[in-house]
Amino acid sequence: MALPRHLKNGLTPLEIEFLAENELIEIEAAIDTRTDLELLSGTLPALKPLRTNTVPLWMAISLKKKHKCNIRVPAWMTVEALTKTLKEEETNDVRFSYMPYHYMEIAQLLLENAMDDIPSAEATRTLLKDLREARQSKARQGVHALGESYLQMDNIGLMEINEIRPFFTKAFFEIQKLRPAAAGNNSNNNNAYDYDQYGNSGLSMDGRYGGGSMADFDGKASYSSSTVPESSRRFQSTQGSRMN
Amino acid sequence: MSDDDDFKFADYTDRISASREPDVEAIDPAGDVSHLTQAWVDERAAPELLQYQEQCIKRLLVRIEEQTLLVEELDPRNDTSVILSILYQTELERVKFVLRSYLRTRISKIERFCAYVLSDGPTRKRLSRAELHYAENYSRATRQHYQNSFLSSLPQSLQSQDEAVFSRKLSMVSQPSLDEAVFCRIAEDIGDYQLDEDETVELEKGQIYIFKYRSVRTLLHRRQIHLI
Repeated sequence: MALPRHLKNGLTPLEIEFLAENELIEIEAAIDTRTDLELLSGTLPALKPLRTNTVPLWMAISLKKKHKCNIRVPAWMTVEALTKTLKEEETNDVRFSYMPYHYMEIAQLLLENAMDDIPSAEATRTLLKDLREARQSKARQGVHALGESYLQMDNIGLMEINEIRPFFTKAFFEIQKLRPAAAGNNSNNNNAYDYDQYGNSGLSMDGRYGGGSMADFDGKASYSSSTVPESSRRFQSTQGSRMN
Repeated sequence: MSDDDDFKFADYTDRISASREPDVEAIDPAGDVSHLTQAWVDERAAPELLQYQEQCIKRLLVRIEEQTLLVEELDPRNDTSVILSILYQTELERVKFVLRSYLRTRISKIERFCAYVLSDGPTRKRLSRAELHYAENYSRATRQHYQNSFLSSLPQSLQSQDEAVFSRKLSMVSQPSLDEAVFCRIAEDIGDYQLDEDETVELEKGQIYIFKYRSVRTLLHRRQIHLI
């Protein structure tokens, strides 16, 4: 098979970590490469000791493992910054506070590979864990706001998306099937859609959506989203209570 | 962008012809790696087959070869060179991984929607020559196999493999479902965008949404949004 089944449900956590490793980070190198680094993705200035170089995270980790550099903790990952973000996260229960798109992966990789470069690593770890839990419950509440046309979730991280993806995509798809207006439109616009020849075959999702954790969606609707018609709101609340 | 005007009325009928898909491949060769990486993520998330990134991949293959030669020329007795060599090789492997996974994702879609890919004009144009060749052979082989293994013993009227047998457009040919939900990140400021008859959203760079794939398909083809 060209692509193993477990790779068909979107990206795996390892692949997301791979993407995060392309993010840039500051290091203090312990070697002098003398020449510029001619990478496929561009040219990096030569690494010099006692100077700050900006390199991709994968390179920083690779050098770190050979004890050839120290990694500078990004500004958002200091204890002060995290404390502030966590506070913001807890006071605003509608929006996600700003965090880098790959914050979970970067933090994880740094805590794993560069513990000695992180001042008060344990406090950082605890703060990150609290932040993640606060955001996770916020993300789950988003299911109540899931209308039939779109849902906006700014500042959510890629790893966080991946956690809610199986349930959200499935629920979104199901809500659309229940939308009476959509059914009407479809029959009116049959000619327009004929071009694509998309019939009902889409309904057989043949297991593309794996289980996903569905058991614990609860809480109140707190998202600002498109106006949800009464029918689908009802659907959501029954769906919600059934899942509890 | 020249077609700025008409995308505001973006058609939710999805009438995308090959001529209207602009060539938006990276011009800067150094951007090829990130371009391919995004193309890979898009391909993994999109239900249908997307445009093959021919120019980008062609350039990258040449540069991968050049880079491999460069690594071989590094002096293994010099410590700094050894480190450089490790870094270069790590990056080479990373790029090759993305490329392989990209191609495999496409092949898996080609196999899954084989008959559709070959019969639908716009989709067919998105294949590379090698992929088209593969699709045709795959189609021939599976048809032949089904025919030989059991279809030949059924009555003539039941031997078809690509009919719309039932009423209500239920076809034997499996097709990608464009109504699937996708997560996407807006790559550039787009402004008001009409999702369907009665929904308009204002799209700004960096925002994250869940949409029905069909309603943002045009934006993806123009690479104004990234799937995630």
